[in-house]
Amino acid sequence: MELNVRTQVPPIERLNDRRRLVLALPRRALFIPGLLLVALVSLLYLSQTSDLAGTGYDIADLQSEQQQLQMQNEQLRLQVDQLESLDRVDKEATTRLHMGPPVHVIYVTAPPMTLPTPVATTQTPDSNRTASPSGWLGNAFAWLRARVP
Amino acid sequence: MPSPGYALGYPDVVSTIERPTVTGETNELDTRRWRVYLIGSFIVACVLLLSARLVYLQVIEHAHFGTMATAEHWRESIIPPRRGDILDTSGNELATSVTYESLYASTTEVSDPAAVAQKLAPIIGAPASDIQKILSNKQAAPTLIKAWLPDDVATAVEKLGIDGLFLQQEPKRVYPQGNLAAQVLGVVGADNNGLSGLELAYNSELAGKPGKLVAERDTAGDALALGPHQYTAPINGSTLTLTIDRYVQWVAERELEAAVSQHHAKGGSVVVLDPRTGAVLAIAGRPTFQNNATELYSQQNVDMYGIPAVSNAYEPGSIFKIVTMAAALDTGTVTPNTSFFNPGYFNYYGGTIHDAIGRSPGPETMAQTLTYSSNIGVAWAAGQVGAVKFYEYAQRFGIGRPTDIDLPGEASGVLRLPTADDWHPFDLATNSFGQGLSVTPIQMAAAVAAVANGGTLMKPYVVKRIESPAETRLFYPTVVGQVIKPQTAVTLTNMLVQVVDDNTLGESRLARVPGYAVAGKTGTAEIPIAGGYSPNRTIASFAGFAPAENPRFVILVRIDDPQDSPWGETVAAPVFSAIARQLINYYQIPPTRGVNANGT
Repeated sequence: MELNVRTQVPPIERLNDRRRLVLALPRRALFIPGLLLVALVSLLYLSQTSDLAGTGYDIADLQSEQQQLQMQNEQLRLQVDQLESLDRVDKEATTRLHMGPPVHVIYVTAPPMTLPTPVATTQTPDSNRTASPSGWLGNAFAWLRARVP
Repeated sequence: MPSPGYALGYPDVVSTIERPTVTGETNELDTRRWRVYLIGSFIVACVLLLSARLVYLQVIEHAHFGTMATAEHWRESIIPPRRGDILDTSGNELATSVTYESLYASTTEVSDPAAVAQKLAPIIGAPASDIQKILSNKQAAPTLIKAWLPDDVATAVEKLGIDGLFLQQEPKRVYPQGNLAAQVLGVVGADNNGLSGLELAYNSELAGKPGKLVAERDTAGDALALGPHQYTAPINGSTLTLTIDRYVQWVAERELEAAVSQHHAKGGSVVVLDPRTGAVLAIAGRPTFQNNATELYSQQNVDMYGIPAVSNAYEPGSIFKIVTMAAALDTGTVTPNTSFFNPGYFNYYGGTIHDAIGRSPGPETMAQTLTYSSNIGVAWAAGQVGAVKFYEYAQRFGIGRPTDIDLPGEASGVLRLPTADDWHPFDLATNSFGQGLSVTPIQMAAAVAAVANGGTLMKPYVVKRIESPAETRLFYPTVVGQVIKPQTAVTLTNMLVQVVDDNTLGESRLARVPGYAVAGKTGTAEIPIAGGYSPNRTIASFAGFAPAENPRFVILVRIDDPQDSPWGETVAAPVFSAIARQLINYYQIPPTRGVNANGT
């Protein structure tokens, strides 16, 4: 004898089973993408943290390099000052360049300077300008003037 | 055998409920139960123990372990400030701080000291045996192998990559001009604090304030650059700009060194002042220490840290006649032409005064008294002035009290007043020519500068500007007082010019500068010893200024115990002349008078 299961299950219970089936399907379908999303976010976080740590070390390296350069700069500045010291300049001047201190210093008294008197003029700054245009246009005007009586 | 219920298709209830028990099985169950209880009890005990330990660590010892954890993960490092520079009046660096790398070793990590020493020795320039000795002495704390390596040496050491060695950046105080003005600039100790000179006097301004970095650190102990941190920036030291001119200082030191060497003297001092402002242009002293020496802190060097021109008082001798004559002229007691009869000795309150160089008895003017440096003449003039006025003027000129110059260790000198118990009226006579009292070179130079400055005494000073990131402090000339009338200063200046110009018996001829009027006075002071004065030891000195018409500088030269000649004229006056000639060229001062054929 064939047993009809459906006829034996009450209609309300069948409805609940269907609902469970409908709800269960999306959960299963979302589990994998959700897992992937979490993995992706975790990777992003790790990547960012790693980048941050790397940047931190880069900054530390740059700070160290800056300190080194500052140190070198200070040492070079000291060398410049030492090379410009009077003892060293005097030694170079007397031994290498065979220079000596000034023996006779002569102060020349210059006659009082007479400044040239400004020439009175009526010219305005623009008075020396010609009315004609300059350049090739001016040349053309001049050529025309020469030919037109 | 299956139970009856099983055969009928019913659950085997009866068999489970009414199962027959056997004594052996009961014992086994009990044993198992006890085992479970035992294990359970053990686990519970462990949990309780761990919980108790946790409570102990987290609650009772919270503060202690919290501090340890913080120290493990957080790093607090002190950031030293950069010590301020010291510049001369034109901005040339006289003292500065430079960072170097020092080589340290964690000796416990160095496995083969001999091999490491052999590698390091040629690079850092130290004996391999010394390095090996340091490395073999195993210590927990880092040990210094060599301080302040130049950059190229530090790089070479780093390239070796030896385990247990590390480089640490450390500041070093350096003096780019070499030993110039070493005593004035002073010395800095290993703790970066000043020990002498300006480094000591202005230590609070130069030192700055250290900063602090509290930061999370990585496994290597380095601070995480982007980690949480608290940063307090260091405040660097202020920059001092001095009134001292490095060229004037250099000239003064060079000429002083030459004179001390030439006369086999014990030492000496030179002070150069700008009489118009009191600004110190140079202070030189010999002997001095080497400020870049490795043995900078040796007792021999420490003994020379002081500034003799400021801290060593001496009997000035005849230079003091300038003060006596200023008092006599300013009170109107005498004029340059006032004459008295000089019998060759002077009896005064039971004592007798003689001149250093005897002359025939005869009339003598006050101008001649200065020119011949007559002890009898100034003693007579001081007697005319009277003790009250004489000491009043001496005090006006700043004798017997510090000038308050901004340098450490200033001596006040000694001036016994008539109110003192041990003062005797005869002291007036001896004090008038600079015996029985003491002055420092800076005091005497300031007093002479007052004459050059129209009778106005200025306070000498060395620092004219202090610059910090927050503010700039300027120091202006300070007038101490009008010690004599301007007309008296002019009269006295003319008398002092005559002292240098005199071609007969003048003692200051060697101080001349061709083409310029120079005012000045020599001094030859006997050195006091127990029970009197040394018969053959003197302090030779000269104080003067130029050009006399418009003085630009005052120079005081003091040479201690010259061996070949005791006189100020032959020992100190030429030093004045040599310095004055170079300063006149330096300041480009045109001649004020014609030059004779003999160059005078």
